[in-house]
Amino acid sequence: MTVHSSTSNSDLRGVLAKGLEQTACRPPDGGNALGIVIAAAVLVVLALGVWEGVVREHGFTPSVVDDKDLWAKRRLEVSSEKETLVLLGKSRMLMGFSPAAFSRRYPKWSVHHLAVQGMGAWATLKDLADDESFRGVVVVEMTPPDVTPQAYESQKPWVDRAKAMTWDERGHVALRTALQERIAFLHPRARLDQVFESLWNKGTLPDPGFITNFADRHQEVDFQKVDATILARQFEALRVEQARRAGRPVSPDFWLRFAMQIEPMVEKIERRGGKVVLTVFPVSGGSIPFADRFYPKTLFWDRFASLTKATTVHWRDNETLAFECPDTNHLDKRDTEAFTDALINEMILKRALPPP
Amino acid sequence: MTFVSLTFAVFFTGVLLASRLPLSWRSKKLILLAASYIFYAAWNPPFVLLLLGSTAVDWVLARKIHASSAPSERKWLLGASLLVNLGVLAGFKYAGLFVSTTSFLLGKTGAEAFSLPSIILPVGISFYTFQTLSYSIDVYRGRLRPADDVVDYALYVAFFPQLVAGPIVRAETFLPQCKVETKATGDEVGWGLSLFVFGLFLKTVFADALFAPASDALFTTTASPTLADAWVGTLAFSGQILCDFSGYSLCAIGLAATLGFSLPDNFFRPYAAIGFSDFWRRWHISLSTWLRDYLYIPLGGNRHGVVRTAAALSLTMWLGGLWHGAAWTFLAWGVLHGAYLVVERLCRAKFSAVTWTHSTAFRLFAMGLTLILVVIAWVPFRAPTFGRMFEVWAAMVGQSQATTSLIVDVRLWIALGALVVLLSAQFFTRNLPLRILAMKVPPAARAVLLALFLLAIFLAPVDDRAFLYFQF
Repeated sequence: MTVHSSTSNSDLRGVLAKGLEQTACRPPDGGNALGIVIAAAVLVVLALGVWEGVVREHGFTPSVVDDKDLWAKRRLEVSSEKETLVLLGKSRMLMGFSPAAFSRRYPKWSVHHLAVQGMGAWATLKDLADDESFRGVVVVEMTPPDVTPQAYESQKPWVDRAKAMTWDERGHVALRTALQERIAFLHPRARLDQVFESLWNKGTLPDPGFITNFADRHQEVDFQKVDATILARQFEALRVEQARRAGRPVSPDFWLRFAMQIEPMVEKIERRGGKVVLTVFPVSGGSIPFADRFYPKTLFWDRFASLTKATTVHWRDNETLAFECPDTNHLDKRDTEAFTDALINEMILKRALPPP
Repeated sequence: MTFVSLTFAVFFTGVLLASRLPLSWRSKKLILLAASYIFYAAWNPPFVLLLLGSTAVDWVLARKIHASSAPSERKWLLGASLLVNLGVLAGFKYAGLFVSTTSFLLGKTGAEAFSLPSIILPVGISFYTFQTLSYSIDVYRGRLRPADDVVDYALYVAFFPQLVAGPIVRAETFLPQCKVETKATGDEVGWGLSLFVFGLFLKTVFADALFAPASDALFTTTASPTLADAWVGTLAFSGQILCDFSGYSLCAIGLAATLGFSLPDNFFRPYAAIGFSDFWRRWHISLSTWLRDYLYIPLGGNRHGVVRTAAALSLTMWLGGLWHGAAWTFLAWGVLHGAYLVVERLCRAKFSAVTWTHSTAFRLFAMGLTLILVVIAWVPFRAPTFGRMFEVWAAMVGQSQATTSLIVDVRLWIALGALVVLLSAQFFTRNLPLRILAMKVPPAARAVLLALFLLAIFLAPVDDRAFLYFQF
């Protein structure tokens, strides 16, 4: 608060005399301010061009930042057309389903990837069920452990973000993603802090990693760029920890009660002419005995499949869906098209999708 | 639409190009007005109606005030303006606080708790309400003739560079600029863009990337802080809020300059202030001068003795605190600053004749003390609750049982390093306006500096963060 005298503002005059005049908006004398800005812009373009070359040389390719905002934008793009495919689930869906393979067979359909890493799909399924305009096909990638009260809520912040998103935020995300699709130095692992940290610790640029994010939110995993056995061991350790925490296996009846909470959502969507397909994606190696021990298919999945109105697809029921997962949990990018084709065939067979 | 978004870059490019078209000045003003409403609608389209309503009310009332010669009628009309403007502000901003406090107090007597449904605060309402209020009051005081053209007046209220977070512009400085077109020269466009880039640099790099992580580590957790956490986190917030808000103001001033408009400065090295009256001449200048002219002086200013002056100062600061947000912690911040100003005033009266208080050593000591007390006052401003506020203050004086640091990693050193840079810049350029500083730097070096700022903005490792002052 300025506390000048109401009759005299000598304090203010004193400060003004020392040069505190209101001048920020006036350009400096004797300089070509516009020329300086243009020169700076040229320098920036040159510097960024060089930097782009350096990171590409180091193996980086463009990869978009997949965050809540991008998810929200994609959610808001889900149309009311019947020829709409929405993909829900977790990382197995993001990395396993190829939108390109689907679009080749269904060129008129729009595909919307709304899976979220590590988050159960149910809040989004509920959101689609509550969306009276939605009449498309929803494919949900699920695993029995996803059916918990926590998993029902886990994607809610994403749904809320979409509801709060303004048109200019959508515009920002569209422009940002368009740049990230084309420019390698905008790769999430090439951020300046990561570059500094890597240079400080290892003396080199960061490793670009083996996962590429695309603007439609699907991800490609190139297991040839990484030692998949290390990842498999990490998943094994995770499973041991999960098993330790879980203690004794959950009872099938208890699980089924939770699982059937999905049913009102399925009914709502199917009543409007839509379809819900619940799927279990392939796993391999140590993930199979883990699933068998804690969630034996006959006691869990098969009972659920016999009760739900949704179409159900389990990879163990159809050998064309069985693929080797190098890290025991996710498909390599070279297998996703074949897997997607096989999944489409299965959905056509079960009348969840019309023939192309 | 925030200045840091790519949508804004596209939007502003369009506006800037439109401002250079061979159109009449009135057409250009209409384009600017439409652009301002689009800018505002980006947050919540229905609130454009509120902005239009606020504009219409004071447009009509100010004309009536000016046309009336009956003092009582003029008072009634001004009262209506105050009632509508402050009523809307109170309804949107303070109703929740009032109801929750009433519920809390009644709860002490055993009554059942009650609450209001959450109310969305229209962005920038505190800023444009103060602009429309000052317009009506100035017309009432006879300091200002009402605007002749409703487009000019509407543009004064809604001018997008400063609409949502200031600077708070007075009609007497803005309306004359609407009379005749002053097309920005190449120099002005270049300088305006430079200010915009520098403002964005302060916001995205200093405020968001360097200071926010350490500040958040202290204030967004309930874990007990150590002495170092309390100081580093609070100092980081002090840097964050200065860079965030002064960055926004610079962006606004720069954008306006490219369109041929002059906006007033809003910050002038506040952390190099000597004393609190000096601090408030340097911090959020457009708000402090508004409060001085429309609150402090009407309350009596310093014309009615020590006690009345202290009361006017305190009340002004308390309301200034609450202006920043509907929470009692903001009031606590205002109370502290009010107390600082009162004590300073008393000390000045007692010691101004003592020669050693004019020595350089004392001035440096006073500068350091001012900074420390300002930093301490930021705790209630940032703390989410009074509990956290007392916890941080206790830790600042070593009264903490915490043994594990909250800001253990590189964030601590980054924040401290950035703070050293910021405070050094504040100290060494204490009385140097930016344009004078710029004139001391050779053009080639300015181009390189500007390029570095731009590169840092492009590559800054931060998530999207809104400007802090949008919430006020």
